[in-house]
Amino acid sequence: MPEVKLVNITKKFGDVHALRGVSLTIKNGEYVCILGPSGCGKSTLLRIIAGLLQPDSGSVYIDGEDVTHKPPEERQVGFVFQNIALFPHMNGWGNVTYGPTVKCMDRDTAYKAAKELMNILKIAEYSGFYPYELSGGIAQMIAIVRALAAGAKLLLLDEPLGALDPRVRVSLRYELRRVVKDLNLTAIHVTHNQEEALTVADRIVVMRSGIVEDFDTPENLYWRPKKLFIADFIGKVNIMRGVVKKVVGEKILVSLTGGQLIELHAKGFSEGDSVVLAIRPENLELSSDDVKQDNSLTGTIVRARFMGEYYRYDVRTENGETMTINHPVDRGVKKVGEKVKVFFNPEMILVYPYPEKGIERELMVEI
Amino acid sequence: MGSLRLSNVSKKFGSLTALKNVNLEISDGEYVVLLGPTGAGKTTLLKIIAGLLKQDSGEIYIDGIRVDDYPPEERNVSLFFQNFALFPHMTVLENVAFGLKVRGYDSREAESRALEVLRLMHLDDRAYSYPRELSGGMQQRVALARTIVTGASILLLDEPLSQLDAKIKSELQYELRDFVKKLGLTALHVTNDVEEALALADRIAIINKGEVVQIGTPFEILEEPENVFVAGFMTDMNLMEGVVEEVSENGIVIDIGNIKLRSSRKGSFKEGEIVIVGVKPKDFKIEETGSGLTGKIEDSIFSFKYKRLIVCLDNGLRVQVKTDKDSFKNGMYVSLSIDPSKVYLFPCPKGGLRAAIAEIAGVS
Repeated sequence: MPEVKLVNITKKFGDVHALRGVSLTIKNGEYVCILGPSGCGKSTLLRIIAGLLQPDSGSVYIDGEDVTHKPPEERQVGFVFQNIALFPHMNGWGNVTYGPTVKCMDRDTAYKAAKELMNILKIAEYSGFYPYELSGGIAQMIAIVRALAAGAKLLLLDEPLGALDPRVRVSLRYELRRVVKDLNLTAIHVTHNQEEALTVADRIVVMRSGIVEDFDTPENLYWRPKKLFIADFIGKVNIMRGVVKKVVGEKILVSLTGGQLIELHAKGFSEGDSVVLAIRPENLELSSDDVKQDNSLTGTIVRARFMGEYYRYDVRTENGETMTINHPVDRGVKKVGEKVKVFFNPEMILVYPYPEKGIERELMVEI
Repeated sequence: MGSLRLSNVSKKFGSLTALKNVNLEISDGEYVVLLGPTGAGKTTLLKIIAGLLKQDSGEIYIDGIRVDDYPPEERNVSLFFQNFALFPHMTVLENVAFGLKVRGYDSREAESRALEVLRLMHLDDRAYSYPRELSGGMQQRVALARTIVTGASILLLDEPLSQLDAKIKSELQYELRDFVKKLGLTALHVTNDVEEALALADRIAIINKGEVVQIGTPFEILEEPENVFVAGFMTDMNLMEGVVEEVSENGIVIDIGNIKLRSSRKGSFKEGEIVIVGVKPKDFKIEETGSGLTGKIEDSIFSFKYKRLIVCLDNGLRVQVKTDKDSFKNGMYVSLSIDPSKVYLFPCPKGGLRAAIAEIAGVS
């Protein structure tokens, strides 16, 4: 359960800046995801932590010790790749005990530890199977045991669920988290899948173009993102432009394109500021058109889908925008073509200064 | 016109059964998603419908006509592959028109039809671009235009969105459905992604190990799963093995290991029978104090509007509970209750719950 500290890590591949000064501290026993679009530098960062790559500058500390120039085998880390790399000519047990064997560890202790890991991951019965006889999910679990069998307490996972069926990906992510917590490991898990990161991690590092954009809990990143980029990248948001008309204490009145006025809670804005509103689909409320409701827009439902716990409605509003609303199933069903009111809860609207270089540029996954 | 009917279609590859007595009826203009894990037989079924593979037994009817002896090009279907490949040296327009030219259309007519489809898909302003100049999502749309331009009324889509990243995919999937509906096409869409199926389908057919195990609207499938496989594959239901203790007009009482649950759902179960009990995480009511079902919170995981709590019950079973309250913390002792109408019961499959879960997770 080591602590990992990165100080000002940079890395260039030719002319490409893969990492531009990354500093962060991952606590003992934490499950951290590194999330970002492909090419953001997330796998490079993981490889630097593992010692498979050397940074151009900066330092890596594991449990307070500077390991920047230590080879991978002296770092006590377990590494798991996306393309489940098991030895094809060895069965599950052979794969799992390979590390301890080549490291000449005490056989009895190592075997006992490996057996226990197989039990905790609930895959003991697959010991005798060869990789080609196993499904992707089981093979990946064996790869995880192999990564840990030599006693690693820091587990590095590079898109560990990427090669699996979506359904398997979901059940295995809870399994992964359970194992990491039960064994008191520190885990760093690289993924490009937002939902996976949100539902497995204690904290998430969001990266873009070699920079850490934010490092925070799923709750904060999803409900209280500090930047418009994060709000949009981490999950679906409805984005609207407006201008601040009036500031009253901690409330502001925003005029949308189309002239409708919406009141919301926000600090640090002045009259005349151009702003961007970002609203999660589950934070908009629908009511029928005849209900009198302040702080709302009227609109027509243009699309309706049942998604299990909610209906997803797309509403064409009076100011000409299409908004997506997740409406809980127990609040009733609406039909396509129905006129509705969309209520903006003042406390649930995220507001940001209009980005200098425009919205599109702000939201780009590569900068 | 584009209705499709499969009657008892079976196919074996050597000793491996790929499809077993598949029956499926799709009406003209319907969007049906064929959903199942890798290796369930989905692609094999599409290839058989398209005429690229021959079934061992069973019949295929398109618009009421048996087409088993028709070659692919005479079946009124077009097939869209997962790994579509656009010709890199051709413009978007040339790519889309290519299939028509091969079929003998003169080049002017082919291009005018291609342009019309591109216009419908809002791609006409990119007609003279080359594939490399387009984003992944746009290339996918061009490939789709190329499939549709042939004029077939049945569109067979083999994992058309699987290569796209999550954000583009969620935008494109609604667009795809709108487009199919606008053109009045019939679609059979193959995927292993539950969310994608829910977003797209009028009806979902769930296939496992070559057998269609349930067909219904997204609502029917999620609310009334007919077996453990469907329940586990489609929902995040907690599945537990139990023994029927009592059957009466008050419902069925099941023992899940020193804990009793009551179900008021229909089902013909006998006392002493082993059954699988299913409870959706959102259907548990959780309180800080109380009696009945008690346990300790082991972990708490972000789940959008909810928190997903891992609760270890007194009998050692771990269940997932979804709550929108913030007051529950790790280590707390809590009490759970469930409305008996929300306690699902399923016949226990061969091999028990363990085998069923392994099957759902694709590990069998």
